[in-house]
Amino acid sequence: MLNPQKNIVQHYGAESGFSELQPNLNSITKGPDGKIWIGTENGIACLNTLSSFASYRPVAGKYKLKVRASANNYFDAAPIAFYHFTISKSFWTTWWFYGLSVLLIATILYWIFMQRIRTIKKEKHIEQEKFQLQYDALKNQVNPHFLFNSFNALLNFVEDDPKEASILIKHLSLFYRKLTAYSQKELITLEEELELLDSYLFIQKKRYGSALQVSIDIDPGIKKTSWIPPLVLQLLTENAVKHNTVSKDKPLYISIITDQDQIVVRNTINYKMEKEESEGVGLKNIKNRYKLLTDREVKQEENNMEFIIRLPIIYN
Amino acid sequence: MRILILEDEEQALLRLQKMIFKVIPDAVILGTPSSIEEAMAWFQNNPMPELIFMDIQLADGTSFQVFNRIKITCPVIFTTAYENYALQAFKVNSVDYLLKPLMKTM
Repeated sequence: MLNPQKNIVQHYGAESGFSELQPNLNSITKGPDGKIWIGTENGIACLNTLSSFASYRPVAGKYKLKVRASANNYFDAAPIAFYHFTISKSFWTTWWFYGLSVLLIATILYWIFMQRIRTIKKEKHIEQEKFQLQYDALKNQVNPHFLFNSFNALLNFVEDDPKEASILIKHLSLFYRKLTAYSQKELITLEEELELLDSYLFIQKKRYGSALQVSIDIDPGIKKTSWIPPLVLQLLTENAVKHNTVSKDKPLYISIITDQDQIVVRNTINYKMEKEESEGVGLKNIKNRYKLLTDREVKQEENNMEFIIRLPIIYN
Repeated sequence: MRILILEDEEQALLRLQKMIFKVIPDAVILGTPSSIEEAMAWFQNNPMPELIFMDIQLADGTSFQVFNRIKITCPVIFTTAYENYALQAFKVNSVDYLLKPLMKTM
């Protein structure tokens, strides 16, 4: 068995002194492709064109080498010796190579295909998350109950304190103005979010009075240079109000501060007796939203006293 | 008339009190608990009032919890921004269901 590159075979005489007769060695063989291999000097059998044999790849298959040796050039009388050899197939023509190639190509195609699907899914997912967050924020605000309760408080001010009433109306309209402007965006500056939050908290504080206490301490240097998905702080404060008791006896304290590369939102815990239906959905959306924006996670902590959310600050 | 008001929002409470006095000048507001907890404490120390105004979303839960804990024997008027509690309100001894913002009907 010879490997496929073999295009030359050499025949040596077995007897001593035989090699001397080599110039007269006559051999001929015919390959499976019909090409004639001829014997040449020194017992070498090669393809019929000597000049090209070096680059010729013989066809795979069984070969029979006929050798006749003669001391006096009377080859016809000399006995013929047969040598059988096989040239094996090039590995790229073997069935297992075809099989593996097909498998490899199929795997690569499959991988590219799956990768593409994943990208499309991720894009769709991003869109969905964005939509969900906007939807949640809008639902809660355009939620007529927020408006009805605000109007109820407003009615009281209109009669007793028209000046205060006009400020409340200003904040109500500012809040809705910003809500509609920002909710379509992917990111807004921290400053924009804080302005929206300011109006929202003004309205809520008017409703709850001293039962709702909020302190905000944000590094002014980063307000214009850092980004946040719209309505995140508003949703977090709203969640705090929604899930906890807000009463004069048990006020709700919310604090929003910057701590290195995080915005930390904490609120005192005093859960209501009945859990609200949509619990956790808003927070889950915020987490998913951040997952798509940055490698840093939104962290959630809870102890007996406080509920804490840490949002990574996003810079350009 | 001896009246109890369950309400957690400051402005809503002020508004309701003002409207009550307009309609019933001799009304006596016995108390204004803002949570179920405060309300329970009030009921333990006071006799049943003649009328109760109840906001449904109180500071620590819905005011239906009050009915699960004690027997309310006087009429109740619910005040809320939520219209979807009306059926539940109907099952307890309510006489009216007022939607916020509260306004005097002509």
